[in-house]
Amino acid sequence: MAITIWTGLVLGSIYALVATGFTIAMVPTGVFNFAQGAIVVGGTFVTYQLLTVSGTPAGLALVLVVLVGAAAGLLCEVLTVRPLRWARGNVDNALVTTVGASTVIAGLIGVKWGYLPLQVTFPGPSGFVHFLGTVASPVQIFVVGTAIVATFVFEAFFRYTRRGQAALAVAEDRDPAMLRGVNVSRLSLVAFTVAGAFGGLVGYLIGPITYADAILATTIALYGFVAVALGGEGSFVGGLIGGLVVGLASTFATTYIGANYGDLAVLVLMLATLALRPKGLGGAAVARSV
Amino acid sequence: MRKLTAVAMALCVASALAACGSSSNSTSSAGATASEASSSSSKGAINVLDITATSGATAIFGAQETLGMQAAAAYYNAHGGILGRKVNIVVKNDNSDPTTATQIATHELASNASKYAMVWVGEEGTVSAALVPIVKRYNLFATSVNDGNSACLKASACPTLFTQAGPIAAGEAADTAALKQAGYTNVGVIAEQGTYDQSELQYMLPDLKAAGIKYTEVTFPPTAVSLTPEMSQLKSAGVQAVFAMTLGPAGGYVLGGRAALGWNVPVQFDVAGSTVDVASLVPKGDTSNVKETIQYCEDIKHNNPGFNAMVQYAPSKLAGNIACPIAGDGWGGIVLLANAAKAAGSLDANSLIKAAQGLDIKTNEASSPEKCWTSANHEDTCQGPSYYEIVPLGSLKQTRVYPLQ
Repeated sequence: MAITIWTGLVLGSIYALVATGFTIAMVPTGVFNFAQGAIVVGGTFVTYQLLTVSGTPAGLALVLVVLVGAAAGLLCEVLTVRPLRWARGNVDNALVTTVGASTVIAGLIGVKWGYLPLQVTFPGPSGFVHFLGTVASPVQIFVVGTAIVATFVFEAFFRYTRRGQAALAVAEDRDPAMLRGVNVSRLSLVAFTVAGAFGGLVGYLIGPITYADAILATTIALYGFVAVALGGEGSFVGGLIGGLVVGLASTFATTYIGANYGDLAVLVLMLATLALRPKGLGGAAVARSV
Repeated sequence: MRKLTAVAMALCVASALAACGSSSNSTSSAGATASEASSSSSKGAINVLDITATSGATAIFGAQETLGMQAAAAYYNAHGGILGRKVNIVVKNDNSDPTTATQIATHELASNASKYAMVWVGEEGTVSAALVPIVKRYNLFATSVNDGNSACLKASACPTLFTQAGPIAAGEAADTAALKQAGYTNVGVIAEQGTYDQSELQYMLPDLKAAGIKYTEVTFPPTAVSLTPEMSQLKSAGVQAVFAMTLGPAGGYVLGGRAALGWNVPVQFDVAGSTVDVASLVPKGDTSNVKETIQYCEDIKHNNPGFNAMVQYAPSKLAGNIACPIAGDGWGGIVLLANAAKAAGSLDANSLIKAAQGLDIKTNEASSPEKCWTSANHEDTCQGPSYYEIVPLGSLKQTRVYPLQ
C-alpha cells in the first residue's frame, strides 16, 4: 500500500509540475499552451544530450536546459499567440495554434533523437531511501519536493508581488488593466518565456524517471490538463492538488482494479468533481440560481 | 467552464492533429519524383502505400519499418527497379492508432486504390488487424509484420495479406520452453495494457498453462512511469521468475522496480521488450539475472547481402538493436513485392497474390534467412519457435546466423 501511495504521489507530482507550467502562461494571458508538454519532453532530451552524451557539468546543463525551454516558450508566444492577437484582436484560436506548436516540437524531437527511449542521467545521489514502508529514489524525492515548492513560490508571486498582481489584473479584465498602464503584450511574452523555462527545468528533473521519450508529450499534456481542470483553472495550489489526485487515483485503480481502469478512474473523478464544483477543487463554489 | 470544455475538445483532437501534421504524403521516391508517380498499372513508378506510425506509442516500429522499405526501394531503383519501374513509397502516419489508420486507408483508397501496387498495413498487430478488411475490400496486395491475431494462418481470412513474421505464437512458445527448461513452476507475468503486448498475451498464458507453469499476471497502462507496485505484487505472490511483456521504456521500469525492492528475481523479456535496448535504460548493476528474447537475423558481418544493402541504402541511420528484426521486415515487404512481381511478370493484384502463395525467398532477406507462404497460409510458414533464442541481457547482437553455429 505504501509503495502504491508513493508511486501515485510521484506520478501526480509530474502532472502537477506540468499543470504549474500551464498555469504560469494561462493566468496573465488566458491561453492554454498545449505546447507546454512538448517543451517539458524537449527538456528531457536536451538534458540527455548534455548530461548523458556530452558530459556537461550538472549546473551548467541545468542553466542551458532552462534557457532552451525559455527560448521555446518565447517562440511559442511569438509564433502562435502574438499573430492571432495582431490579426484578430483576441487569442481564442490559440487552442489550435499551440497544438500545432506541440506537434512541431514533438516532430523535431523525433527527427533529432528518434523514438527509442533514452536514459537520462540524474546528477544527484543514487540508491534508494526507505521510509514509512515504501522505497524511493532520490530523484523521485526531488520531483515531489519541487512540485510542492514551485506551487507555493508561484502562488506567492502572483498573490503578493506587484508584477504578479498586474498579471492577475489582466486575467481579471484585460482592457482596464491596459488603461492602468499594464503592458499586456510584454506580460504575455514574459509569461510564456517563464513557463517555457519552467518546462525546461521540469524536463531536467523528470527525465531520469520517465526517460527521454518522444511519445510522452501528448500524455503529460493530457494529464496536466486534467490536473488543471480538477484543481481549478488559474490556481497553482489547485493544480498541485489536482495532479496528486490524478496520480493517486490512476495508480490505485491500476494496481487494485486493473490496468484498464486507471484512465477510467481519472475520468470519473474529473466528471464528478466538475459536476459538483464547476471551477474545480481550488476554485470557489458556484451558487446556482433556481 | 466553457473555456475548459473548449480546451478538452481541443485536447481530444490533439492526437488526430498530431497525426495529420505528418500524414501528408511523405514520398520516399528513392530516385522517383512525385511527378513520376502514377497508376500502378501504367509504366510510371510503382507506388507502395505505407500506412504506419511515425508518431505515437508504436512509432518505434513504424519509423524503422519505413526506413527498411525506403532502403529497399532505393536498392531496387539503383538496380533497374521492379519490372523495370522505379518504386515510390507513400508514407501516411496513423499516429499508432487503429482508428486513424482505418480512416487514412478508407480515405486514400476510396479514390486512389488503383494507384497502389502494394499496401503496408500498419506498424503492429492491432493496426494491421484493422486494415486487413480494407485491403481485402479493394483487393490490394498487402504485407505487414503480422496480422495481430494470426488470422492469416488461414489464407481465406486475409486473402490479400502476406505477413513478414511467422505466427505470433512462435515467440511465446520459445519463451515458455525457456522458462520450463529453467525449471520454473511459478512465474509472474507483467504485461503492458497496450495493444501490442495484449495481442501476444493471449498466446503466452495458455502456453504457460499447457507447460504446467503456474502464473500470476499483472498489467500496467502505457502511461506508467514506475512499476514498483506491480513488481511488489509479484514479489508478494512468491514467483520464481518474472516474464516481462513490455514495449519501450517499461522495460527499464521493470528492472527499476526490481532494484527498488532489492529483489534479484530472474527476469525474462519477450521479443517486444527486446526491441528496445533495455540494458541502456538502467544502471549496469541492474542488468544481472536478466534475459531477453531475440529473433534470429542473418549474419551482417559475413556475407549477408540483404542486411548490408539495407544499411547501405537506408535514407538515415537505422536504430541499433531493432535494425534487423524491425527495419528488416520493412525491407522484406519490398523484397516480397519484387519477387512476386518477377514470378507473376505483372503488377496486377491477383497475379501478385497468386505468385506470392508459392514463394520461397532464400536470398536478399534482412530479418530472417528465408520466408515462404502457401495458398493455405499467408503467414511466413518458414518461421517457427526455433527462430527465437533467449539470451542474457546485453548479448543481443546482429551477428547471428540461423541456425545457431
